[in-house]
Amino acid sequence: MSTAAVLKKEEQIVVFRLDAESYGIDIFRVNEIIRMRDITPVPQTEAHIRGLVNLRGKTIPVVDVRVRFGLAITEATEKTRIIVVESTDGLVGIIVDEVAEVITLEPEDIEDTPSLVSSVGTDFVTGVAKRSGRLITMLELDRALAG
Amino acid sequence: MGAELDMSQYLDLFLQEAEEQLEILEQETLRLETDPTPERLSAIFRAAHTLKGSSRAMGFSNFAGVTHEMENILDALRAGQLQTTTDLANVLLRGIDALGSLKASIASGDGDVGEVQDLIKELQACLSGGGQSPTATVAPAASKERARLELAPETVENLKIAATDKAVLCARFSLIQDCAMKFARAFMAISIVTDGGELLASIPAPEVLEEEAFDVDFDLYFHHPTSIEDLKKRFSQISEVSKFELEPYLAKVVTQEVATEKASNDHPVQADNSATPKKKMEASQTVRVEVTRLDQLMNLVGELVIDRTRIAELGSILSAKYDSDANVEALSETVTHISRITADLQDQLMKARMLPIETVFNRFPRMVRDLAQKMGKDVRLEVIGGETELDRSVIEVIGDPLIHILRNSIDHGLEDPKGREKAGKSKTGLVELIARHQDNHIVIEIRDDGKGLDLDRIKQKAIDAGLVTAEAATRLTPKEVTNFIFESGLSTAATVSEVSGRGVGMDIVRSNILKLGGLIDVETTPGVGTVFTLRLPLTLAIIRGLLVRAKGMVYVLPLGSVVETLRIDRSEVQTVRQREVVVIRGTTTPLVHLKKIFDVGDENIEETDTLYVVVVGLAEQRVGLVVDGLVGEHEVVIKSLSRHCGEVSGISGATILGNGKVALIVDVNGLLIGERK
Repeated sequence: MSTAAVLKKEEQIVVFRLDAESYGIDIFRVNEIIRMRDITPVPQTEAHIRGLVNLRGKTIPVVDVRVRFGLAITEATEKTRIIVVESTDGLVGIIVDEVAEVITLEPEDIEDTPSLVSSVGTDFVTGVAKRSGRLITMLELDRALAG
Repeated sequence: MGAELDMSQYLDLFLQEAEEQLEILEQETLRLETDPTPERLSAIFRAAHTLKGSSRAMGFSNFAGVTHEMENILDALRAGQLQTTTDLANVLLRGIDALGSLKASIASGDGDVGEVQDLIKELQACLSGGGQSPTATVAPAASKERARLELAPETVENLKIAATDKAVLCARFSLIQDCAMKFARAFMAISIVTDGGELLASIPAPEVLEEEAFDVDFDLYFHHPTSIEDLKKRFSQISEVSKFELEPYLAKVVTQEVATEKASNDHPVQADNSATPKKKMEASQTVRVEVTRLDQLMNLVGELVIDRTRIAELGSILSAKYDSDANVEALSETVTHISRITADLQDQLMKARMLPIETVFNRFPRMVRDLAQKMGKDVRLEVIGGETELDRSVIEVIGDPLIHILRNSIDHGLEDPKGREKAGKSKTGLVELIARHQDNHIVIEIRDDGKGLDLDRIKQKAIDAGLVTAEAATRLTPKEVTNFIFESGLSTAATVSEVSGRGVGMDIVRSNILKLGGLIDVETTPGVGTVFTLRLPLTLAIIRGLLVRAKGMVYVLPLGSVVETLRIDRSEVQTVRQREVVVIRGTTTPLVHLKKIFDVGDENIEETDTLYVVVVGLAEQRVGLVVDGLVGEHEVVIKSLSRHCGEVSGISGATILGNGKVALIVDVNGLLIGERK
């Protein structure tokens, strides 16, 4: 994807944390945010699929983006959350270390993806936002979730 | 009007009606061949007539054209000017097919397009063969005696019932062409009737009369104690009536108690009306509900069932904790009540989703007839138990397997008429389709009285296909040989026909049946026939399952495939060709460790000397699943695995347990296939 026009107008994003880095996803993709809960692993699935959780009577898969991004696996803490997002294949949960805040970005906040600015491969990144000196990596959700 | 939205709304109605009427047309036409009763002809005629009317209203001229010609033929049949022959039935069926494809093209948005001129000519040719011009059936407008306006079938029934009470009269009015107050005149006629009498029906309906949405004719059906002469006098006083006729429609029917001679309850819907005069005909007490809405309801009930189990568990935890607390006691009571209600709710909803298996079976008489004609065989199809009900989810998927088996029976099973005579059987082969409930399952049998499976041929084919060695084949039991027909790449037909015999089929049939959690079995007797038996669950939404533990994870085994559970000592496990087996009552059963197949969960479960074995099986195959423990038996709601997980062999879905955790449902068939390899 071209990095020129990530945002055309202002946009709200949900900012979450993995290790020390901040990431953002479009708030319209986020269905809800739930606490960490029991995950039932499913045999023979790819490593980034942690398993299934019960979301009020529905079973939804949970993806560990750490595996996807090649980050070290960590234990869940009190702050660990599952962000439930809409994907082309239905609802999917994403495990994150912490959900930080919801912010509004202006188009000028976004910069082209500088190479190697974050630990995540540029494949999954649509751009980087700068906010009060902090860098927020904007994720290309569909690619990050795809098998 | 004219808004597109309106039109599409009518289109849906039209398509729905066309679907129903076409089905009636086809079913009745098929029966007409063997049983040409006037009632049947009338039913067909009505269906064709309805279709003609509605397609004209929608402006589908091709559709209307075909139905019009069919109607003409049917009318000639009714009048005895034509005789029902196979050729005639063939033409009518072709007409029905053409209507079906027109309907399909209308439904797909292409409109009423299709080549029907040839067909229309063909239909017309049938008529002229019968020596009657198509137009002659249309009653000339100027005829002195106007015929009675057509009655809806329900109305006829209602009138019949009414006639059990008192005689029914019919008054036919024709108003003058430029009648200014049509409703006023009709109203006067009705007032005369209701003054001392009782109006039973008016054609058109009173609302239509009121809106003056009719031409000049209307008929009234009623009881009236006064003499016909007297009534005539009263009617004659209504002005602007060009003509009226009054005559008895039905004399009083002498009510007679008829013993229910229909012991076999094959067609309860078609029970003879004259035999049940006391039955009150009410306006149909049904509502059309969209299937998706029922599915949504089912999902909701599924969630409710899960929550019920969860609440029940919490309840028992609380009552263990606060033994004598009154609130906790009240909670337990409420929980029991909720449990009962959800069970009822689930039950009722299941019933609402049930359809008679007829909806599938109805497709078959036509198929069998065509197939038999093509193959030059005489075949009679007997359908028994068509009213047996099962869940939509199952109905949707069993059609294809059944078609396949039926085709096989007719193509391979039944001999041609000559062969049958030689074998000392009647020329007409019999194929029976039998459905019935058994336990919580539906059993469908497809029986033919053909030559039976050629076991030697199957054996040879199996050897050729490398499924078994020639030496091992000699030791096979007939049953084992028979089961080879479910293997892929094995067709026993000597010649490959268009119908079946490409060696794909029975294997797919079996795997589809197994996927549904069903079983298929075949029994054959040389020279006598073959019976395929299908055993299917009534629903695919909820199953009873045995919950087992492996590596700290809970798995659900569908109870239908669990044969038995047992505890064995580790020392009883033997090794044959590097495979663990255990001998259960003389039968060597291979063992499979669930935790080795499903390599997830807690690694630190210590090994014990006692092994829990759940013997699962399909048909003849048995496998002992070694698990860490048994949890219990539960009703579980099946949820599909997310597409994110992909296809997982050995897992057919997931469910949510009473404790809110997700458990995986084991696909026993998948496991066994893996095991065979």
